[in-house]
Amino acid sequence: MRCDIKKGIFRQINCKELATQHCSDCGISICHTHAEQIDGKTVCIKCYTKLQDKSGSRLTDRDYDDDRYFYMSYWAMRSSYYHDYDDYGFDESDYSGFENTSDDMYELSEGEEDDFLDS
Amino acid sequence: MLLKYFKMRDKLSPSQKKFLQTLELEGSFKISNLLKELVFLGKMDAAGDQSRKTLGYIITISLILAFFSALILVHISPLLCGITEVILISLAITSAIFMFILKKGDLDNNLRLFTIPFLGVLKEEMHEKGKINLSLNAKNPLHKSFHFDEKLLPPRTNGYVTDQRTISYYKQVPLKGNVTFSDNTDFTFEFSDFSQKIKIKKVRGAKTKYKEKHKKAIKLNLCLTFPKSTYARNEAGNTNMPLVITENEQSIKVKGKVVFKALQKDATAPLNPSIHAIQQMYKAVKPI
Repeated sequence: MRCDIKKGIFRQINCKELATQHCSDCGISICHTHAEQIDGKTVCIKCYTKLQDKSGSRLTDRDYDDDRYFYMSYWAMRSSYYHDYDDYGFDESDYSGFENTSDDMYELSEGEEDDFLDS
Repeated sequence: MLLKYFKMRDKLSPSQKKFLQTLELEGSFKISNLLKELVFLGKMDAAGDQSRKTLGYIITISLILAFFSALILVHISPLLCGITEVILISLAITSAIFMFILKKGDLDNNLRLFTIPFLGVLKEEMHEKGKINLSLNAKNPLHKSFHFDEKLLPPRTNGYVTDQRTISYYKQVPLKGNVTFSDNTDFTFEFSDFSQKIKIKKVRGAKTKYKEKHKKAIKLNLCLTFPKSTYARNEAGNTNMPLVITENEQSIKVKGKVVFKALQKDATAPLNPSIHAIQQMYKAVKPI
C-alpha cells in the first residue's frame, strides 16, 4: 500500500513511498516522511498543520532539525495558501483521456520576443 | 540567541562561508543540497536578527540606567556610582561591538522570507534529484552597487514651506533561474526589485526638517513551457491575470508578469500571491 498524501501545489502528486501507518485523525495511509507525532498519536502531515493552526502554536516552536523544520514549514505554507486561495492544482483524475482540442495556431504578436527579460 | 548564532556560524561549510562573504550565488545545483545550505543560513540569519534586536534593547537600557544611576548614586556613594557606570557603559559598548559584527554578516530578509520558501515550493514539484540553474543575490536592495540613477526635483513651495526632493533609483535582481518539474514542464523565473529612496528637505523660515521615504516595486517575470506530450491548450481556462501564450509543435509557452508595490524599504515579495500567479498560468493548459 502506498502513502495517500498528495504533495505539490501546482499539481497534486501522489507520494510514491510505501505506507507504514495510518493517520489517527483522517485514517489515510501514510509513509514515514508524512507522519508526525502530536499528543501521543500519529497523524498525517496535513492533519498536523490543521491541528497546529487550531491550537495557535507555531511550527517554529518545535525543536526540529533543519530539514524537518523546513519541510514542516512548507506544509504550513501550503495549508495557508489553499486556505487563502482555494486553488488546487491538477491531480491524477485530471490526467485522464479527453478529446483533442482545437488546432488553432497562435501567431506571435508584434514586438514579442522569446526573451521576456528585456522589459 | 547570540550564542546560538555563533555556534551556527562555527558550523558553516566552506561554500556557505563564501556565500556570506560575497552574498551572491550562481550556477547549477541539486535543489535538495542547495536548500539544505540556504535553510541553515536562513536560520542563522534569523538568530542574528533576533540577537541584534536584543542587543539594541541592552544598549538602550544600559545607557538609560547609566544616566539615572549617575544622577542618584553620585550623592550616595561616588565609588558605587563609578563602579556602576563602568559596568553599564562597558555593557553598552560590548553590545554595540557585537551588533556591528552581526550587522556585517546580515542577509537580506528576502532570502529567508521569500527565496527559501519559494525554492521549497519548486523542490516539491521537481524530481527528488532535480537540478536548478540559479542566480541569487542576497545583498540589501539599497546597496550602492544597485544604484543607477539620481534625480534632484525642482523645489516646490506653497508660500510657507519649501519642499525639495532627491530621488535615488536602485535595481536589483535578487533571484532568477530555471527548473524542470517532474511533469517535464520548464519553469523560468526572474524577480526584480526596483527601489526608490526619496530624501525630502522641508524648510519653513529658520526651521529645516529632513525626511526619508521609500517606494518599491517587485516585478516577477514568469514563463512556463508545457510539453505537448502532457498538456494541451485550455481555451476555457479562466485566469484572472493577463498572459501571453505561444505554441509550437512541441510545447506551449505561457508567460506572465506580476508586480507588487510597497512603501517599506525592507518589503519582501509575498509568497502566496506569487504561487497563485503560477497557478493561474497552469490554468491556461489542461493535462492529457
